[in-house]
Amino acid sequence: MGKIASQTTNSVFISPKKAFCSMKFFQSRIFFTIILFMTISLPTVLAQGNRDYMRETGKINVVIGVIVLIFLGIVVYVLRLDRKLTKLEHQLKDDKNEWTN
Amino acid sequence: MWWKILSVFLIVYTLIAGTLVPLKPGITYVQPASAPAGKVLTLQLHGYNSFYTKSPESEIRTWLQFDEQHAIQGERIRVLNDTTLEAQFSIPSALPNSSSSVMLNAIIDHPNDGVSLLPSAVEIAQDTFSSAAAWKADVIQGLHVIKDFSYPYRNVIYESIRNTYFHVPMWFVLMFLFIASAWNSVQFLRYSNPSQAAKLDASKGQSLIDFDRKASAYAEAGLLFGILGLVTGMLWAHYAWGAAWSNDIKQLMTAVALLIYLAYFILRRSFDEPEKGARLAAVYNIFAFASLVPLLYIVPRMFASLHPGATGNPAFGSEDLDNTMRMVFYPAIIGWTLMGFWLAQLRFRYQRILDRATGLD
Amino acid sequence: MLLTLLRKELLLEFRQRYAISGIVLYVFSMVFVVYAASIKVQPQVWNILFWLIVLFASINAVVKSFVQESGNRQLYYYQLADPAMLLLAKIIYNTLLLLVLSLLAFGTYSVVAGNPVKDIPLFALILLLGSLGFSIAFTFIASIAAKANNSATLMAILSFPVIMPILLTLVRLSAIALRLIQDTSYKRDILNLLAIDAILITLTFVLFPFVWRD
Repeated sequence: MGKIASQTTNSVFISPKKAFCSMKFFQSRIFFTIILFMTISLPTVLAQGNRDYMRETGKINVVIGVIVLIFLGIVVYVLRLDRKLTKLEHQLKDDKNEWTN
Repeated sequence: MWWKILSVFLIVYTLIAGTLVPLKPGITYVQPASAPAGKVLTLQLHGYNSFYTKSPESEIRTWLQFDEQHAIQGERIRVLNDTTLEAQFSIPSALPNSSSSVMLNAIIDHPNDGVSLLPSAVEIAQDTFSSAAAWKADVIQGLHVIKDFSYPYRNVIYESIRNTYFHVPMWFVLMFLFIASAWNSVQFLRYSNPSQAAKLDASKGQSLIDFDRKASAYAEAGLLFGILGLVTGMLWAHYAWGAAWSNDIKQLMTAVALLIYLAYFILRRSFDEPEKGARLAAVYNIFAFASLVPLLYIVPRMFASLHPGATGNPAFGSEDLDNTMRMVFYPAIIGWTLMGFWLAQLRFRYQRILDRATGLD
Repeated sequence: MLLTLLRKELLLEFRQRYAISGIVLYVFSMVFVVYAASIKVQPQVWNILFWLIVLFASINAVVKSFVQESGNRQLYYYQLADPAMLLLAKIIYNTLLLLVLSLLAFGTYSVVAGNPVKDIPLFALILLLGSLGFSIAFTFIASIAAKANNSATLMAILSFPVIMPILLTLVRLSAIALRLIQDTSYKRDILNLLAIDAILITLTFVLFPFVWRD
């Protein structure tokens, strides 16, 4: 009984942590969507509220917005490539297994 | 490998110099913004990045300028704090021309900060008669020009002039990648001829299908940078020009370039045989690239551009880019371009491995 | 040779009358939609709508020029005649076809929505140049699209970016003919248009050998 309980708690305890800490999360569709959503919604978010961050004297926040957008864009591109590579790795692994079997 | 390190180095340099170097002092606004003629006007001038307290009040001079010749000098200058200055102007009862109101430029000359100017700062209203006599001629002389490592101050744009190093290079990267893609398509077609194919040096790793992979990889990276340029441009334009889209030549050309790339990828994928798809996509790539170039000459004739260098010149005019900015702008272009080619190269290498693994090569 | 090929195109068109009548009907219905949607058309809108009608009618008219002939028949032609000649014949034929179509569109459109054109000779020249430019670009794109399965969709996607410079210049020129904008230096636009046509036709003949052989 105790063994099973510890196993279940283990799995329950680990799975969310694992989901956020392992590379898998960074390659998951959810993470990809979050990044994409951030990219699109950033200007709207910054422009809302009582303070209009983008129109403050100096307009420095426009520069920050542009830099963040470029960074996120490149990250999205690299993530897509990462996912493709993961898929290819799995494919190659499966092929190898087939040969050894 | 060296160019990848160079790319990172240049982008880091761009980020540091592009964000940390200060702007030259400028005037953001004056109070009051309008006044009647023939009265003594007490004007408050609000500076940006300025250090008015660093020089004695007696050495600071200020003018309200009508044109090159006509100006009135401010008296009794008081420095309230580093960014606020007060001066009195006795405005003549007659304006140099007969219009009912004129806009005057505000100029401050400061021994420490140098010259700063705000165009059309004050509106002066008058009755209907005019005379230039009361306006002193050629009073603006002996200005302090400070040469230091700082970016020019521009109204409306302010700090977002720094976007020159982040948004503008995207357009250059797009163009370089597009040229590289079209060039690889040309190479692909050239060597697809059996008599030419023999000239390919396999020992140097040249192969026909690599040209196609490169063309498509450059096109994909170009798509990324085109989208980035468009999105960042829309963000900047929204807060600098008031509208995200204004039928500007660079916006239009980027949009058309993106359409070409998208069509190119759709065309590639609509064939069962990869060779046929590669060949026809290469043909379309060249044809579309050649038809994009005339836009550079046509669009400026149709729409007034808000971008600098609007007469069909994709680069900046000399007055838009001073020497300090050049020292960051050119490295930025090289850095971002190398980054674009790096991403394209990764994509190309992935495609080659994938094709080998799936037995297409 | 060229004349024979032109006659062949004409004969094919005549034998498949349903295709050309389909395009004509297409023009009529688009003009009617414009009429039904708005009774009074402003000159500005007239200009843009007119070129949209001509653009879509042209794409639909040209797309069939390679699709209607099966791959085997194409191959047979290429053995009989120089492929470049064949393409040239198609371009000339399509130019004439598009000219007729745009004149037809202009006629019906003027009857239905009024005729705001002030400078008729200039407008006629624009129609001719437009037909020529559309014909060169669309014929070549059609030869690419015909190789794929979903050629009608592909045709539209591929031709829009390519036609952009020509279309923008045409809209500007016809705005001058409508006296919407004053510009005495419109000859430069005409030269621009001819230069684009020259670039496109050169490329067409350089690139066509890579398209037709399978």
